[in-house]
Amino acid sequence: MVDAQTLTESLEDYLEAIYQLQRKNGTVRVKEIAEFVGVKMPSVSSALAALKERGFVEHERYGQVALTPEGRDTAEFLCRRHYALTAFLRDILGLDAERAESEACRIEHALSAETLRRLLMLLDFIERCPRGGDQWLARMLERWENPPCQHECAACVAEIAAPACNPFASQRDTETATTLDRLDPGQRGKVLRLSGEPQIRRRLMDMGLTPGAEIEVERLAPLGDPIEIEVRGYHLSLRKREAAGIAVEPV
Amino acid sequence: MVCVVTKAAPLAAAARPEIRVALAGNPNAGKTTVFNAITGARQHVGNYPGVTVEKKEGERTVGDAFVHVVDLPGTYSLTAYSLEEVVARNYVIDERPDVVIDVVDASNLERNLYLTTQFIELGVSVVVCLNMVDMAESMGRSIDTELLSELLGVPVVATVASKSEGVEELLTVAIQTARDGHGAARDVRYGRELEEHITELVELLEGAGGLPGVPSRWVAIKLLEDDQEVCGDVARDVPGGEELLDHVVRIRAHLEAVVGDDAELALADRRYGFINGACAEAVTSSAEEAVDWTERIDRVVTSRVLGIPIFLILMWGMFELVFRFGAPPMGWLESGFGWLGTQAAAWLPDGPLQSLLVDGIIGGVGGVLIFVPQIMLLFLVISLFEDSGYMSRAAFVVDKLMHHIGLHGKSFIPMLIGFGCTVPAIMATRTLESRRDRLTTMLVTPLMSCGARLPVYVLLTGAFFAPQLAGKVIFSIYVLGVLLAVLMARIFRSTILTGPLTPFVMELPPYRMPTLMGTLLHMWERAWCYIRKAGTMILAASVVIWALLSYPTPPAGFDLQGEPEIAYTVAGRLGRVIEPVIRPLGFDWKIGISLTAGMAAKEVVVATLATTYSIEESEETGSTAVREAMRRDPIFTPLVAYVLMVFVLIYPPCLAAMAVLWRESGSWKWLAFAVAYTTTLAWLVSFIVYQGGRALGLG
Repeated sequence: MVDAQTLTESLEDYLEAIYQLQRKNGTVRVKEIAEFVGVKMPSVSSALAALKERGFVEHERYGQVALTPEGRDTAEFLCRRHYALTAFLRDILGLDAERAESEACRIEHALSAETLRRLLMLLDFIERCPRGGDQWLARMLERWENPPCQHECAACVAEIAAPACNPFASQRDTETATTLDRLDPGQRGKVLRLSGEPQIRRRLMDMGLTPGAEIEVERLAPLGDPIEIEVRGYHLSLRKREAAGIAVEPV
Repeated sequence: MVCVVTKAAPLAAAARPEIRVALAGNPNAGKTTVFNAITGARQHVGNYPGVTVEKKEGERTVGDAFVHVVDLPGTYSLTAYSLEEVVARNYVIDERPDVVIDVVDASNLERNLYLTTQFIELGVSVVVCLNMVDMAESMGRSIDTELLSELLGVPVVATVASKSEGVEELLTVAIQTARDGHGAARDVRYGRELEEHITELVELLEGAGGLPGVPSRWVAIKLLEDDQEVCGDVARDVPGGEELLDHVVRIRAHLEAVVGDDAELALADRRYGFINGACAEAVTSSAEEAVDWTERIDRVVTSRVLGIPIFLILMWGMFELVFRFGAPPMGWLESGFGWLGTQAAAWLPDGPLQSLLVDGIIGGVGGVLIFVPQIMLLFLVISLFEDSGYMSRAAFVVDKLMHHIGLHGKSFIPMLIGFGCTVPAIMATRTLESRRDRLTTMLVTPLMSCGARLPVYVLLTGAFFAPQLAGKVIFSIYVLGVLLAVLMARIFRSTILTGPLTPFVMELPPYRMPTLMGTLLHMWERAWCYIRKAGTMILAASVVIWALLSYPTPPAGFDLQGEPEIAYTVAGRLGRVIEPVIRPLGFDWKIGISLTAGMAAKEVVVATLATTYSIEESEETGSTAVREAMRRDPIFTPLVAYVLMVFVLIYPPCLAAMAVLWRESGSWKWLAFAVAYTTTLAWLVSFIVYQGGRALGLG
């Protein structure tokens, strides 16, 4: 993970913007960045110069902007951090989506890699705690709405709207994403999405290939198909045709 | 269609309280071993009503309780993905067993608990049998059963069923749970967004009365998963069900927009999340892992270079064992029944009764039992392959080949066995999970030229082809069979047995040592089922064929005009009737009779040819004399001989094979179809070969 501390807040915002645009459109132009961030063209140019100096972007004058591999890693970290924070504010603290988003924008720049890691673990712990972290959370939200004490905080708590939670969208495609059939033996990856016929998808899910599951390609059959993978501590074989419907992020 | 393996005396069931236990679990979790350890040999094997999914039952008395155990089909989940899953689910819903013992592989906890969460959701009393804890320990994993039990909210008992360890405790806990139930099991919570909709649906369902026998929460979750069975039930049984389903469609669309994935994926994800959390707490892995033998073996057994040679060697070994070692006991049975026939013939006066007893009944029973050694040996090998874990590797290795003809890697074994004998080959299709694959394989396996057809080829090539050509001629028939099997498999898969290809999503379980008891029970079960199910039909049909070939007899003094006696019988007349039909193939009525008789068993074709050519059967000289007689017959040319071989290759397999096909497909219709298609195909191919050959001037 690249240390993002060397970047100013605004440069971080630019980097995130370029990353998002690149993912969406493939190519990025200065004008688009200006629109995305909400600034004028000259400001973008000077920001780009600064990013270029740090080796994060390649930029031809009047031409297109592209992230260097280093720039992309940094941008990915920034996006993940942004998302984790938004999710925390929205899902755990119960802020509405818009407010969570805008506050995350302001807080995010101060978060170090370690804090982010811990935040993600906390999210995971609460979401998945087998003792029913979810119920625990629901009770806490209730308590916020009907606080046991009548202190002043009640006034601000009352603002909290029912959250629109989106804990599953955490698996985002990145540029390195590929499909399972394209991984080589020995390569590891994380499941992002499943597509294809519902019957097969259902079976794959039941067998433990859900988003986030870690897999390792063990080997190919002697005739090149099917493949053998390890998932959730056991070995599974599937044809390349089925593996092609599983989007993975190589690890 | 219940086939009793060992009928235990009904243990005064009425006097004692009966406890009904359903045994569930993933395939390869050791469910059968647990079942055997609980019930011993007191098992019955049959089918679930209306389907060809096997149902095993057994009983056992523990203290004052009479325990009745039903072995549910092994499944990974309780969705409506496969027939097995539907059967297992419906059994639990409809029969309401007192307790479900869920056998869980301790060395593969995460995936195995997935099914457990679904049983808990179904609202039944569950006891988790944490099997193979020794394996888990050898992998450096120790599981806190008490903590796991607390986390899941159901009792957990550790066992090593292959050594019968912990099985008594399992039974005690199961009986107790069946009587008293257990505390509140812990449901998986699916996160706020999903829970909101689940709650909403539960309220709607409860308001409308719900579905009988199942918790509304479960129904709500299945509706969100778009489970077709449950959707159908709701539409039919819940007032306002249609509107409810429309509402579910809207919820699913909404969830997809909010959650980014469809609801099923989100639900599966949450279940695994729940399990993941439980495992993280209850399982401790020591840093040093023991040697992973499975991985080491697989590095050789499924490797690019050695995978196929090892597979071929094992297949060759299986073939040798079944057909070489099976041959002596078959010979003993044959001579045993021969001796019995001679004895009977000596004791009884000549006449119809003697003939019925000797040729019809003794011959028929012999014809049934003669296959038993082969079937037992075959299932010995299959059982070893399956229990050790090699079967799935074999499928893994050859799947690509089989995939080309629209079949599953596992179809290879039945088709290979088909070269030896069609009867065990059709029985071997039981290893296939998909019904479409099973039926396709069953229908094309007879095209693999079995051992009984070889004498026909040998006789005909010996009579009409030069010795240096004979081998090539016979080989071409085998190749033709394989090509036709491939062709027909493709045709069936794209016409009558269409549907998505069975996905090859198959577990490669760790290698394990098969248990002696498991293997023996499996062999015995198969052999006994064959005798009970197919045997009776083969016997009856043998008597019918005997009658057709013997009656009516020509009256005393009737002038046969040089024709053999058999020409006067029903079969003989049938030969005449079908002559116009087989004429375009170059056959006359004499060949017609042999082919009719050959429906009983292919080797009978040779014997009947001998009879129709009025040759007294006498071992050595017999076949030479038949050859001479055939050569003198103007109807027979090398081309006709070849066409006859082609016809014998393709047309309906022997009675025993047809009986097994009927039993294994579970329907007369498939048997009728198999007979019709092989007959038509035999005629068509023979016609093409004969007319083509004549056009080329080979006639």
